[in-house]
Amino acid sequence: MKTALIIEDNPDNMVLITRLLEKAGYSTVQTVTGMSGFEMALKVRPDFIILDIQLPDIEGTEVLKRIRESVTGHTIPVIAMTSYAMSGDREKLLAAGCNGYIEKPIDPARVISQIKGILGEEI
Amino acid sequence: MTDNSLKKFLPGLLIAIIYFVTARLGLMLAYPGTNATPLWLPTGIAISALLLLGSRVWPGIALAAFFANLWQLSGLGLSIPASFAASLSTSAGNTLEGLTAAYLIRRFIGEHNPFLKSRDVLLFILFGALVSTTISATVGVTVFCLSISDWSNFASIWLTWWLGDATGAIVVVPLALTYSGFRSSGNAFRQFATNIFMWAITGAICYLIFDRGIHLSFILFPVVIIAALRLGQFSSAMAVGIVSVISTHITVNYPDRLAAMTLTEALLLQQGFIGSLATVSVVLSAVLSEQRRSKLEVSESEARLKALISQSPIGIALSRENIILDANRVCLDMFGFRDITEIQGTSLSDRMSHYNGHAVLERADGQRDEVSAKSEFETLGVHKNGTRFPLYVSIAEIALSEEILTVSFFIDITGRRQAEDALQTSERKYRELVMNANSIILRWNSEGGITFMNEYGLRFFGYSETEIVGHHVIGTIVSETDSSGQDMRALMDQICLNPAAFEQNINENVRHNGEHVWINWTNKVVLDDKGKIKEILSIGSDITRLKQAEEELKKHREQLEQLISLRTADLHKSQLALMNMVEDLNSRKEELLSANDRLKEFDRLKSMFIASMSHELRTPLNSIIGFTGMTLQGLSGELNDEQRDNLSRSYQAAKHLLSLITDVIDISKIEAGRIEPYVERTDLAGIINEATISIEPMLKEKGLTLKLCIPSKIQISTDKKRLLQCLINLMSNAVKYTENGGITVSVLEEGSYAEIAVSDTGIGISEDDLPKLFEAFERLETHLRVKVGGTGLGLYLTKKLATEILHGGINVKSRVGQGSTFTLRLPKNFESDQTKGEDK
Repeated sequence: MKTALIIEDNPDNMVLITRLLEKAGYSTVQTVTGMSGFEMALKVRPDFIILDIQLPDIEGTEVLKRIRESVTGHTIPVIAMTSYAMSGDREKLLAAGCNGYIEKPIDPARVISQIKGILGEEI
Repeated sequence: MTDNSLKKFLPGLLIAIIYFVTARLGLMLAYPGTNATPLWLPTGIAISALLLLGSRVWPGIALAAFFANLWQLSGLGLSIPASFAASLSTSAGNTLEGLTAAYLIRRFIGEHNPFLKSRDVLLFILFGALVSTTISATVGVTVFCLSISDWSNFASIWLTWWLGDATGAIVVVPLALTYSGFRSSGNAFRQFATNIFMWAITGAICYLIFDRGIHLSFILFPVVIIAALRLGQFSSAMAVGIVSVISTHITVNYPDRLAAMTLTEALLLQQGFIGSLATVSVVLSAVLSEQRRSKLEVSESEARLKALISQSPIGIALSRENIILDANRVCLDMFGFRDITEIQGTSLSDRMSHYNGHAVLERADGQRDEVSAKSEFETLGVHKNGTRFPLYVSIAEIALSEEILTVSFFIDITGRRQAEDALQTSERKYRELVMNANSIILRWNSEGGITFMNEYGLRFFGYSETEIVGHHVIGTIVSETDSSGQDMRALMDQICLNPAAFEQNINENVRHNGEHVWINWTNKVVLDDKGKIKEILSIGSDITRLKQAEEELKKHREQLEQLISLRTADLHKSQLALMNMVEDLNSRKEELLSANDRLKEFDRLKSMFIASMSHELRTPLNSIIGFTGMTLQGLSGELNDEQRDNLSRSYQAAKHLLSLITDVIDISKIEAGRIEPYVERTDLAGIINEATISIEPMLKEKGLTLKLCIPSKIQISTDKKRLLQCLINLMSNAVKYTENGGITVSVLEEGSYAEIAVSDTGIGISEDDLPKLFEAFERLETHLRVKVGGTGLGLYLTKKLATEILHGGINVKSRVGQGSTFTLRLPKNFESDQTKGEDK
């Protein structure tokens, strides 16, 4: 069973994505701040990370950057989650080392297949 | 010894050597037992040296004479001291003799060559040969007789001595002094040869004659005379020299030729002969040279006279008894003759002068008294071609030995006459001008007395000339005070003292009848030869009427000024009021400006508010959509139909609200200028496909067809996401308003633009509605309005995106009931500062 680390400050979203992932057969670990998310990523070493970009302490991009610079975490796939992305956000995130991204609002019918697509798993 | 002193002593030394040698030669012929010799050439050498080189060579002469005599005397058996003393005094005599001769020659003849004039030659013979030599003879013979204490032969020794010295002088000095003239007289060789020949002949004849005795010596006279006549001074002097040497030699050495005479007698005779011969030679030469010179002078003066006459700018004619002898070029030109032969021998008065002059000239020939009384006159000359011209004639008479010649001087005075005429004309004109000028012309002296007034002035002031000339200006044309009370007397005094300061002056004058007039005067000073003020020349013009007009004008002006000041006050008031208004307006404007600023700020705040509010609205919406979506998926358990329908409705409503908010956010962002295009190179077909995918569910639902006409590869640079947004808007609109048929998307390339047309076969738009189509919150009245959902922001946002973000445009063509075509026009190469990823 694959483990996903979800870094998300909005409780509704956290519940939504957690339920959708668990119903799809993933186990999850949650945290709501960037700093703790970075620490947990190194400690838990999840199979992938769902990362919200707008976080209360440090920006999601900063978290991504630190993970990619770390020795133990730099290979973990990271899927960014952005509410209403601006033009060019996607490119910026990809350039920073993000494996893929999901736009909010999350479409429950499609989100699992999006994640699987990014991770290269069979749908 | 330096070079300089060598040069100084060399001539003296040379003279000393020559002197000594000739002295020794001469003393060989000495009167037996004495140092008196019949041929003493050194005298001549000494005099020549002193004349040619100056007195400074005397020590050389003295030294040479001393040693020559010492030699001679010591040979006569005298004691050494006696020889010394005698030689010393004799040499003193010799030197003194030379110096005296030179002094006398310079004193009475001068510095020039004494052999050019007969008078000078005679003076030379007297002083140089006869007088000065007595010194040497007297001193020398006295000393000699003293030294041998025998006075018996004093007279004959003295005579020998004196004659020897005199002959030496007269033979040698001409030779030395004429040598320079001989040397410089050109054609050297021929002359030299002739001279040598002459001297050889002379020598030969001399030898032959003296060999037969002295009585034939007269034959030598013609020889020497011929030499003088033919070959000149030096040549004859040389001949004399040769004769003197040869004859002396024969006389001394061949006593048997002397017939009955003693040697002394023969020598005296011979010296007398030489002296005579030399005298003849020099005198004749001098006379010849004089003659030559005077001839030269005459021809020179003749040439000068000729030049004078020919170069003279005055015509000159020479006549005898009215018959023309000669005339210069100017004279011939003046009368038009080519050359003198045309008029030579004809009558002067006929040829050259008018009858008036004729008469005079005739009298000039007959009665001389009258002519001399009227030897200058002006008449008319007659040119050869008959024209007459004013002519000035001056006649002078030259009395030559046998005849009286008349010299006539002619000057063509046409030019002068013309000038005179011109002067007269100009004077007349000036007079006319002054007399008739329409100005007052006045001349008055520095005391104020009037010396002249022209006719106009007299008429103007009402005076006759006698009434005014000689009178003071005050009391005539100037009253003592003018009408304003100014003292005119003082003004006139000032003008008289310093007229230059009053070059232009306007003052009041008075007429004879007491009428006051205003005159504008121009004053000019006339100075006399010494620069003192002689007169004042004043030209005046009457400006009385002008002055009156000026007065009137002044009055008017004053009135006008009053009026103006009144009006100005009024105007000032109005101006103040206006200024207040302007100030008021300014403050209003400022208020408006600040209000405007506030409004702008409000607008910005509004946009920001909407943007952030929308974001906040979206978050709960996301939750609603997410959870209802998840439930609808059946992930939280199976739903019954009603539950599904309920959830489905709230799901759709949430989606609609979200799209509304998204559109509002976009519009706000565009209006707040917060959207920057993100440009990348992309395939247009790809974007259209992406848009197609998102509307496909709607298409399927309504059973519409989709047709794509897209060229395989069109690469454009643009903001991909915004373009996609536009396309989805247009395509979903097309689907919404079409019930039957389908949708066509086609792409056309037009230069640097790409045009994407979205056509449908829908309800179409009426022409009246077309302008409202792109307005915000406009939803057209159609039967589909209720059925079709919409925010009313779609086309408004699409147009904003197309024009403001993508730098392109959008237009629409439509027919009611037939369908619509929306065309999006985009630049293929988007130009922006933000251009990125162009060559990916």
